[in-house]
Amino acid sequence: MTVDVDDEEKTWWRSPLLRTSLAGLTLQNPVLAASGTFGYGIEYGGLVDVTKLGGICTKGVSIDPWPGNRPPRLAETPAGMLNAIGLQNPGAAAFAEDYLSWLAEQTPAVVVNIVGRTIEEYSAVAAFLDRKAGIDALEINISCPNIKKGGLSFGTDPQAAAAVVKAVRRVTSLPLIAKLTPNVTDITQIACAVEAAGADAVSLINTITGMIIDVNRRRPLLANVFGGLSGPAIMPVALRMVWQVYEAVKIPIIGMGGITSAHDALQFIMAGARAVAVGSATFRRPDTMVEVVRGLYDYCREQRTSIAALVGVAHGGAH
Amino acid sequence: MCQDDNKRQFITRITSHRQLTRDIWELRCDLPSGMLSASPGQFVMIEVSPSLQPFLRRPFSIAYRQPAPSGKGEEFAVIYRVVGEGTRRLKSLSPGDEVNIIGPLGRGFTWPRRDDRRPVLIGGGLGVPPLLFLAQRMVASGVVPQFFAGFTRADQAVGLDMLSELGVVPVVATDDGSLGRRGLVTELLPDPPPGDLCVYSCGPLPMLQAVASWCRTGRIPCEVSLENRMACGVGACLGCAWPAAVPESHDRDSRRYVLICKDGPVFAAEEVFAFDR
Ligand SMILES: Cc1cc2nc3c(=O)[nH]c(=O)nc-3n(C[C@H](O)[C@H](O)[C@H](O)COP(=O)(O)OP(=O)(O)OC[C@H]3O[C@@H](n4cnc5c(N)ncnc54)[C@H](O)[C@@H]3O)c2cc1C
Ligand SMILES: Cc1cc2nc3c(=O)[nH]c(=O)nc-3n(C[C@H](O)[C@H](O)[C@H](O)COP(=O)(O)O)c2cc1C
Ligand code: FES
Repeated sequence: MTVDVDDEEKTWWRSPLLRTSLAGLTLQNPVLAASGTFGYGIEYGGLVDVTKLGGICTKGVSIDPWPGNRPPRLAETPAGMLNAIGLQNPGAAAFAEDYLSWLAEQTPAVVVNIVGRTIEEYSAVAAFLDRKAGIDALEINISCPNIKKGGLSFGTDPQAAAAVVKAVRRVTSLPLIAKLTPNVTDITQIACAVEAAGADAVSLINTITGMIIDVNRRRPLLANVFGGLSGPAIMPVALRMVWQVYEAVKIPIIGMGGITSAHDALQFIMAGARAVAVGSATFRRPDTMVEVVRGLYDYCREQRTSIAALVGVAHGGAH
Repeated sequence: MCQDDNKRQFITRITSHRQLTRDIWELRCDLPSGMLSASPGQFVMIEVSPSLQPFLRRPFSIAYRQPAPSGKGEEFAVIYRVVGEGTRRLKSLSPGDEVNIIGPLGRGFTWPRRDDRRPVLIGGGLGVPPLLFLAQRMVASGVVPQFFAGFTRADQAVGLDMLSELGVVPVVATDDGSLGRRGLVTELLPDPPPGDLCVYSCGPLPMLQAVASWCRTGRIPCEVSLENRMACGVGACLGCAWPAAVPESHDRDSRRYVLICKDGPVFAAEEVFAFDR
């Protein structure tokens, strides 16, 4: 690849070395904001230079407003945190009216994360968003509890996961990313099921179910009892799952779980991720994503390689 | 969507760090020029450790601002109690060390006001520090507030020297009577409350609730500062949600919660406390 080095230095975040494609989208670089950790983007105004990101995954959006869980919703744990937000969001109409125009004006790809309690709710929100301009892809959060199945997550049952993806596929032509939950015995089964159902990409991992007890009150600390574990503590688990899914499916992978540095992101890319998302690390250091982009750029320059050439290299041989 | 873009991440330098009581410390740092808009009731998120443990930043109210001893610019103070791992790490920092902060965050106290109500500040324990900053601003605008301060014991009292510098004479109560009157600070409030007051309060939840109901009996405006566990501090994670008292008063999204970090930490009492009607 021949590129003008000086010019490239000035615009490192959109260097051709960093370009990546997935689900029919071309991203200027492979670093996305993970859903639920970056609000609708505007919340981090002044703290993050969003023009330098590859993409923004929004907080989950449902067809109707969801109030979310009772507090306390957060707890800190060793090298990570638990959250039980309960997918609080203002609903698709308010999202589109209040946030979408700002998002659509930004450089990064706009990925809207969608949630539902029934298959009909997933289809309804996807159909609604399909008619809106400024959205580059939908990320289906299949970790939501299925109220018709006693609250069991769609994402833990290959058939239910496939059914959600199929239903959404029917109502939209937008690229579809299925966001997988790690709270399963064999994540490759779910990955294969959503691939067969028409997902254009998968993103993983969502948070790992955990809990914490307040020994002074002798009660669970979170009002919801259980919460989702995120942050550096989960990275080895996330990496293992990306590795397994890479060997099981052909569709691209967005890898996430505990990334705090370019070094972490490189591990996900080498395990098979075409893009990565940074979540909880943004809370600690809002500029983490931009630092990761810069670190990936430096690595590619020093090693005379590109992101595209690094995807899955740790597996050896051809994919 | 309107967006307050004053918040930034700064690396600032510690100018002094001293122990006020057995477990309470006062940290002063250079006030970054980008934080000149910081007003009473607002807070900062401090990164307490350069390593990944503890993982999250810690929220602390701005206790006051003052000219820097160097004569150049200003410094701001945070007064905190050592309660766990994060504050233990904070305690180990020394003057000259750099700290990574995000601020100024949140919505502070309403001051100056459009009316000429007489301000009363009511603080409990570590709720006193943010009210020092407010008192500072009031005195600067020519209004000397009434100040009620409650502590568990005399050796837990903070901010009294600052108040006397400002010419504010506080009414003090301690649980054990070791300083000021014995009992709860709320027991010292005049009953019924004079109708021309406006009240600003920060402290433990039961105290805030007592203050809010007292204000309600006199139909006087009351602002309270709340705390909750936080991850982002900027309204992105939705982790610091607090039940809103009057859901109808919010947008058509009919949400039932307010965010302490973004909608607060200072609220009109009726936004967050439900009263029997
Ligand atoms: C807006 C705001 C302003 C505050 N201002 C002050 C102040 O001026 N002085 C002061 O001493 N304290 C203040 N606090 C409380 C302070 O943030 C906590 O005492 C501190 O986070 C405890 O951290 P730790 O690691 O030492 O304790 P741990 O108990 O080990 O902390 C564990 C986790 O719980 C969180 N946590 C624990 N207690 C609180 C609490 N009361 N509020 C919010 N999060 C908590 C911590 O941030 C951390 O994530 C404020 C809190 C908020 C929300
Ligand atoms: C506070 C919080 C809220 C989240 N909300 C969502 C959500 O709405 N939809 C979703 O698919 N994932 C959500 N996630 C999961 C993250 O997108 C991500 O998959 C996970 O946190 C792992 O990445 P991390 O370790 O970098 O945070 C949330 C995570 C956190 C910490
Ligand atoms: S702490 Fe994240 S929304 Fe308030």
